[in-house]
Amino acid sequence: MKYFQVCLLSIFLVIGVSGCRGKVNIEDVTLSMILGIDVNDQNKVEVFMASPVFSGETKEKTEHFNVQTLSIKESRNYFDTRASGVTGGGKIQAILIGSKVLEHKNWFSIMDMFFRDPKFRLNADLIFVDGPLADVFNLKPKDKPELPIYIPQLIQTADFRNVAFRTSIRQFHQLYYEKGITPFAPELAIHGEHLVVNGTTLLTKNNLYNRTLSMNETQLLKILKDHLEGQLVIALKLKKFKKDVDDVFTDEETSFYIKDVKRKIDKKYTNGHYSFNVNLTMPIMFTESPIGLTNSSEAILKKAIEKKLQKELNNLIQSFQKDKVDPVGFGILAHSFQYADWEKIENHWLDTYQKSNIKVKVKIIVIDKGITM
Amino acid sequence: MNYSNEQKKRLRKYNLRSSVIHTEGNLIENLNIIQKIFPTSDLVTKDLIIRDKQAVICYLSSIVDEQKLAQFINTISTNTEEIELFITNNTVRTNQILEIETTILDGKSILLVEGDSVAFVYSTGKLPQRAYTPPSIDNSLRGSKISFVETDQANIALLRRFIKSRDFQIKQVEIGNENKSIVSIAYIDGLVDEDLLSGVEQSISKIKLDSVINANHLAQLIERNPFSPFPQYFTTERPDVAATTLLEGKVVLIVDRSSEVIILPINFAIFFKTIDDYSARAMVASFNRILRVVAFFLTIFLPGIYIAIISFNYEIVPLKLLLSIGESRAKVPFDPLFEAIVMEITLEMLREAAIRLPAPISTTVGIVGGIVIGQAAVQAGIVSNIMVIVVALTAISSFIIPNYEMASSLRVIRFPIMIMASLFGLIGLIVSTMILMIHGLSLSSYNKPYTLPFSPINRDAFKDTIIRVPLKYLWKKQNKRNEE
Amino acid sequence: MKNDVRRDSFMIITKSKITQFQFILMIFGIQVGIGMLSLPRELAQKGGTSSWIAILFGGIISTLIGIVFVKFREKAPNLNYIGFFTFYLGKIIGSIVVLFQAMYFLYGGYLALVRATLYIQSYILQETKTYILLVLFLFPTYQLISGGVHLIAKYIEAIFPIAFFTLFMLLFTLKDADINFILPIIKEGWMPIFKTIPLTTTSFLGIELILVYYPYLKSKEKAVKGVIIGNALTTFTYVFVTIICFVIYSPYEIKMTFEPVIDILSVIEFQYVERLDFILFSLFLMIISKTWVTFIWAGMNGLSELFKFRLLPIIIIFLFIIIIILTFIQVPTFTNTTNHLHVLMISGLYITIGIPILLLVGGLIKNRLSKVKIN
Repeated sequence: MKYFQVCLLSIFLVIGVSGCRGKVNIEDVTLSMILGIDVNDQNKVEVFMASPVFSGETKEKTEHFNVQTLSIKESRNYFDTRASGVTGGGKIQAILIGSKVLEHKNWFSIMDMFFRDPKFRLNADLIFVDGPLADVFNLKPKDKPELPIYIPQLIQTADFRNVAFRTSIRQFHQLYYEKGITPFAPELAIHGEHLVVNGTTLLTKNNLYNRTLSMNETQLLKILKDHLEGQLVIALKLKKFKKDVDDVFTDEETSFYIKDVKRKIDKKYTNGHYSFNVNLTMPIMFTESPIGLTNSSEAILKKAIEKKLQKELNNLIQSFQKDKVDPVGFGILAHSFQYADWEKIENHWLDTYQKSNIKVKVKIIVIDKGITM
Repeated sequence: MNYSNEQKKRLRKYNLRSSVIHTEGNLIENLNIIQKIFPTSDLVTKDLIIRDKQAVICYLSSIVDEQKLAQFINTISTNTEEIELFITNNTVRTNQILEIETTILDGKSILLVEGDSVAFVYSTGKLPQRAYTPPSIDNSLRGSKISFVETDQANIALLRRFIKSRDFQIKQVEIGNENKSIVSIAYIDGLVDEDLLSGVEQSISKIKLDSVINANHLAQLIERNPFSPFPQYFTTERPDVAATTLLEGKVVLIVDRSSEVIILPINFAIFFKTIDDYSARAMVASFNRILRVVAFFLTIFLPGIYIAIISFNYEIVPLKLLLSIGESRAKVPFDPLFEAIVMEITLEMLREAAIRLPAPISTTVGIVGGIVIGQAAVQAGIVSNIMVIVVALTAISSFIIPNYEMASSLRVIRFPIMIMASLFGLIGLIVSTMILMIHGLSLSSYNKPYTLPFSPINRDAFKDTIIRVPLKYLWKKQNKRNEE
Repeated sequence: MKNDVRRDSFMIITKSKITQFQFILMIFGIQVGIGMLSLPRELAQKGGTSSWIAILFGGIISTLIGIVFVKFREKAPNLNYIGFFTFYLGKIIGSIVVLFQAMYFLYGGYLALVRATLYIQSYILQETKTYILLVLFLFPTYQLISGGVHLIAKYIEAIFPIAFFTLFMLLFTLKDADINFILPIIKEGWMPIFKTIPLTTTSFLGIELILVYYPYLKSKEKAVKGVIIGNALTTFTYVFVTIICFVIYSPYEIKMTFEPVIDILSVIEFQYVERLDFILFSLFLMIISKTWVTFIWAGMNGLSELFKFRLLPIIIIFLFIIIIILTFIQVPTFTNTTNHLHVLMISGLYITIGIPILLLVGGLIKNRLSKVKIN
């Protein structure tokens, strides 16, 4: 009996010890850090990859590849035929989408692997690139770190100053499927030898390219969405204080930190029409002012800023309504209070959106005027 | 008198027919008997004349106090009436051979008088004894600096010094068939559990060895799960620790010839407490305790976590750290498991070597081993420098654990966990944690659960395990009990 | 007469040392298992985002059932499992009921174990064979089953901080939350919520094990309070997890992810560790192990009392071999385990509701019979 037990136990031990075939040591992994998807001139889908090299003997610290295929997982097999390590996607930092991709309706289907594979890093940034991707991957700026580190760092610092709207793949998935919002992502462009964050790309309901928001408009979008990261500094031109029309240095700029955005939205629904009143309260700290600021003169500046901001925000929203895009997500607000009515229009939200009445009111509280008057 | 089988065997071994000395007091016969039992050359037999009778005094010269003996001989050699009284008052009489054997071995001297059918035993024992010295392994910064010695009477004396109470009682049990040694069970009557006492006595009486030399041997013999990685006994060489545990209702076993005492029953938390914790204030003591808990986890898991992360789940590591790990691992030709085992075994060998060497050389070996070999190995590309850091951290953590037994056990547990981590990654770590934890939960020390503060959860015990609340609140129960 | 005494002495439990806290955690631990990972998605599929309210109803129903079980058990507090059923239903029917229950418990334990293995294969170790993972997990299972219910209770108590830690980590996902996803609270009226109640009640299965380990409790008079607190803990956990998933995922998205709980953990990132879901999921395995170990123990306990054999190590190993062979006969996949789980849930529901009815009927008949005897 005891012999039988020992036998059995040893069989179990042998099975247990035979271990796992999926073990890959870190130095044998080729980490894909940047993945790029583009459509080239022959109308074929191209997949790019950039990854760091873990060897002290090579001159280049990163390697780039590109293959033509429609499946990202198949592209990984192709990459494996070229890379010296085993390709893995667990540390992916950014996914770049070329501008030609956005001209095709079904481009989102190529992203299916990202959401199905459990090893994929869903915090990777989704970035649209203005222009062909091959140019980006051929860039070798001398005063910047390697591409796999350069791009994520660029986006991260831009997001910190709220001049770019960092969107992870996971957030993009939500933007795609949620019927009350249209997708958007930051945009990169190549200026000479460097990459520049151009603003934010807005997509229509059909995932086609609509327009690019400039840096200022991106900041306004961030305010509207109550999604501030890090520091937000807004600079405005106030015509009221323009002093010398001929000189280059017109003294009309003011800039200020927005410390916080308190957003209250009043939702109303009457007869198939939605109306939203967005009330924004923002405490600010002045960093530049065209006039000397005393307790009395700050009120004048404050009023001017309120007026200007309100006008710009309202213009932005009206342009959204005209273009039938809803990056702010008014649809989400719509289905949070009149669910039965939402269900009727959920597939045509943007038509209702176009007709709805959205007004923005801005209230500014001046907290700090800086050190000097 | 009824003799046990062992005693009968002994008498037969000495070729003695009877168990008592010659009934008529034939001196030559009795001397023969004693010389048969002790054919050793340190048995000294001195002839005396006591009140005109022939007498012989026998003793083992190596363990007898010469001065006392000389005094005794002088006193009884004077030819006065009072010797009878003196002998009656100062000696014990016996006629049992086995008792004579025991007493001579204790260092006492036997006086045989012609014509007397009893022998007189006089206490002149001076067994070698060490002076009290500071503790060598249970060091502490602020506790008392005295440690137990090898004589059990001296140890009991120390304990009585620390606990001046009538309730502190000793029960003596003899163990060992050939080579008897006395185990003293010390306890405080009223605080201790009756079942515990009888349980301890029972376990000790089950030992049927010829001799037990060391307290650690005794402890291992009465351990219930000798195959368990966790020690189920706690030895200390400090009387203040023993006294504190006695006051908590535990039992202390003092083994003659051993400078460590055994404390029973114990739970897991005791291995992480030191006497210094109670001399410091609550905040400092709690910080030290937390440090030890962290050290405990690091000792067992750190190499395993490292291997699991770089072999299976590199996604857990943040990017920049991953790049530097990858760079340093790229130069190493070996599997992480092999690297880890090589480094760990080297460190263990260094540690063992440092124990055997005299002090000045051991420091040099430490420096040479640690710095030079580690650095050279990294530069030669045999190990990566992150591995060296991991191994060094693990070693330092294992040295923080106060109890040597537990620290050594944890060092050994590390290796199977490393192997599991390299086979199955994080899942392997989790399964080995489960196995260890379940094993620890199933241990019990004399019907008290081994993992006491954690399972079953006991709120009072938590006040003194991971953190230590101020003594006012910790010993509130004692205060309350005394106020009533 | 002598026979009765001997039979009785076999059936009375003397060693009862499970403390109140352990009892509460056992109820909580057995109920919260693999179901929790996919619960938000199933709820959303059946009743939309307002179906979290159904969890509260399910909790109340489960508490009531638990109290009913405790009350029945109080009539024969120290009898072991088969003794209890024999007391109520007579030897033959009692044995049949115990046999069915033991089969059900073993089936449930097997499913939980195999499902956990599937999760590991899907998320963490993709290339490991099923039987290797099974062998790995059967080591601690063997230790726990041969240790008996007291060891299992201690183990469950020791694991509780991990459950707490995992739930706490879920709070870190809230920075991407949007409460508008869950508003308005009653989206499509109360009907979908009521339709989801059967689903939520089955996620409280595990309550029927109270009948098995009741005699081992130290303080039986506090059992009712224990049942209430245990179920309240489970309800709170389910509601917590569900609401967090509902506010993070848009209502259109949540029907798409298989296990939303693991998915939301994968985006938490700290400065020193990313992909927290690997770590937390591995820890969560310890929590899932509570479920399968207790079920398998209850099944083996029932069988050993029914057929009067002692639980030798060799028998446990034999059971494990059967489990491994079963995975070769029908290779477990998510689809067929989901189907099996469905069957298990339905049979569990029948057992949980059927047993009180059976016991009631049996008690009445017994009363009637004894009155007839006296007359």
